[in-house]
Amino acid sequence: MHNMPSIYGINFLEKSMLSIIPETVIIIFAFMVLFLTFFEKLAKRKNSYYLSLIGICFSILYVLMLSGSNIYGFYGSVVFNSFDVFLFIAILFSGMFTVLMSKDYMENSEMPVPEYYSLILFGLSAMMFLVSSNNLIMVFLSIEFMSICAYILTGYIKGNTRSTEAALKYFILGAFASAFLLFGAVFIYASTGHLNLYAIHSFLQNISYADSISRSGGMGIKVYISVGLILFLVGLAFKMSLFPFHSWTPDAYDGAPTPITNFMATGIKIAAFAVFLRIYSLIYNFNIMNFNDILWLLAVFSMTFGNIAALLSSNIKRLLAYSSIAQAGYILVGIIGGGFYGYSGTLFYLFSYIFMTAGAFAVVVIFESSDIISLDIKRYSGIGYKYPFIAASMAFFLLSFAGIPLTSGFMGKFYVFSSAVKSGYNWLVVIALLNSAFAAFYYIKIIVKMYMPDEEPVSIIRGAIDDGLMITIIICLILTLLMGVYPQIFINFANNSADSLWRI
Amino acid sequence: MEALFYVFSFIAIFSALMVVTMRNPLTSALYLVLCFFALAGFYVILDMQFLAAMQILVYAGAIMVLVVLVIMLLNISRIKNIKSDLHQKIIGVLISLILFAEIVLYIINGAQKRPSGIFTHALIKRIGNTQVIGEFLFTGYILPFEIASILLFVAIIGAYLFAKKKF
Repeated sequence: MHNMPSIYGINFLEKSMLSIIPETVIIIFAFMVLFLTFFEKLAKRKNSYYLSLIGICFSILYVLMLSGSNIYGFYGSVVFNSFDVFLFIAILFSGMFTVLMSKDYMENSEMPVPEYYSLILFGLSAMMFLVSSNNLIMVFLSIEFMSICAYILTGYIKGNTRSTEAALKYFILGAFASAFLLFGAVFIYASTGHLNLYAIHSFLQNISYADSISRSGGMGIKVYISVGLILFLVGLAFKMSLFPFHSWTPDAYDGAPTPITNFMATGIKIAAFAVFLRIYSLIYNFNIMNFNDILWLLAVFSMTFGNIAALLSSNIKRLLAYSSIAQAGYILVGIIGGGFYGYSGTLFYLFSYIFMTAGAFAVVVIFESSDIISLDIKRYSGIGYKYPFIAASMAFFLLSFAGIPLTSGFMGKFYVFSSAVKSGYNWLVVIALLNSAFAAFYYIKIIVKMYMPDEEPVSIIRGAIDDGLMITIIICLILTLLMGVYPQIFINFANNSADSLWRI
Repeated sequence: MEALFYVFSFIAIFSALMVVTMRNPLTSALYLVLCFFALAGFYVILDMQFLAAMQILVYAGAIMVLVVLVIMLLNISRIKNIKSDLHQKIIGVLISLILFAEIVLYIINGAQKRPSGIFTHALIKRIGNTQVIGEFLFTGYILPFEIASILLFVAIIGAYLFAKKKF
């Protein structure tokens, strides 16, 4: 039973509420945006757009105010430390870019506006809960919460068969993956007797200590728990869109509204990697089984498959979807590398990945019209002379994806790969380097199309470009350049947050 | 008690297999009800009468009524003509065999040293199992409980958006 004085203590509720205040602010604003639907006058204007931006800014403010504190809230269900601060800011940036991109997109289509923004905000809060969750039930619930928001938003374009098909595929496969996750969580609970991640961690510590004393000791329990861990990994790998579990990615990315594609590519991926990083460092790390070998295979296949499929696709959204599978493989290299440098490198890569992806998708939103032809890469031929700034920034983001020096992509790859070399995974790094050289081909193919049109350039009619899109592109450009040229601030930030993974 | 366990597990496995193999969706839905009843039986064996009642009320009652209603609204005659794919069957059997092997491995290895919880039969009989669940829901798991409510709310918004004819 629980310790009664600690429940009724004055500080208990206050502390618990503090630990979830950034999420709570987002949820309150989501409800406020939703209430706008009651009033026809308010719902028609841009109120929901501005209200959601204000909510995200408030949440960032609260995260910054709370940074440096280390709070366990709600009986250890959630934990707030500098790991969370880093990832909350990353996720909130991703949400902010999604909202900024959406204004232009929503004007050109007839969709209900306030529900859209409120679903984005609910999805954001779910991602933040996922990052801060410290309990298997919390992990499962917030993954479900996040996924349900994503399913609804994927099928948001009504009457569009591609969007509906994508939502249905995503929903069925996602439900399947959630079942695996839950199955794994049940096995872990049955073998350790705990749901709290820290409690499982200390349980495993005791087991491996007993194992080191008597050689025969906890062998049985290790097999017992590893079954659960494998099933849990399947559920998480689906959300990270790693190779054998990737099949939803191209369809869902292609069918969803483009701002939502950005939301899935940045927000969901980062939240899934963050929770995997936390669970990996606490549970998988005990060498219960050779999980690094499994991850090695997943990383190699994801990179190779993603790059080959991206090379063959001519639709820009599908290309970015396949390249995001490959990027997930590179991020996984950092986790395999492990240790302090591996984790901080992974966090740095995740942070830089937001800005490149959001920038690229903002450019896609600019040139997208309602027909499917507008997403063909051929449409981009010759835009380098018509829209010099936008084309130049697109080229910069693509170079960053390819990992050319002076961009954040290079720095991220450098840290991730060097940590893997430090841990002795030389072949993995060789394969990853070959892959990123191979990937540069199809990124540069688009740049060549933009600046050296081999045929008559397709004329793109486009009015004034929306402010939100320009703000997104400019912020992404500045941060991608800054992280490539002077990464030290961000590395310190990532080091701080990786450090708190060990401070249990 | 042990004989009862085997009876319930036989019913559960049999009805679960029937759910998958039956051609008529209505028949498989009714077998699913049977499966839920068998699961409720497990809860009774474990001294969790409250959970058993909830299982029957919520799953066998509310959710299955919805499933049957949806089957009624769909045009079943068109669904019947779907041909089953051979390679789908092979993959399905293979994956279920692997999962089965994993579970067997799990049970064999865990039998010797299984951690047990603090809530034994005697303790639950003394406190009452509804109180145990209630206390956990409002202390240790209050945050997941609240998040589940918001999750359901978002799901309702989604259902509303998809069902609405015109915006």
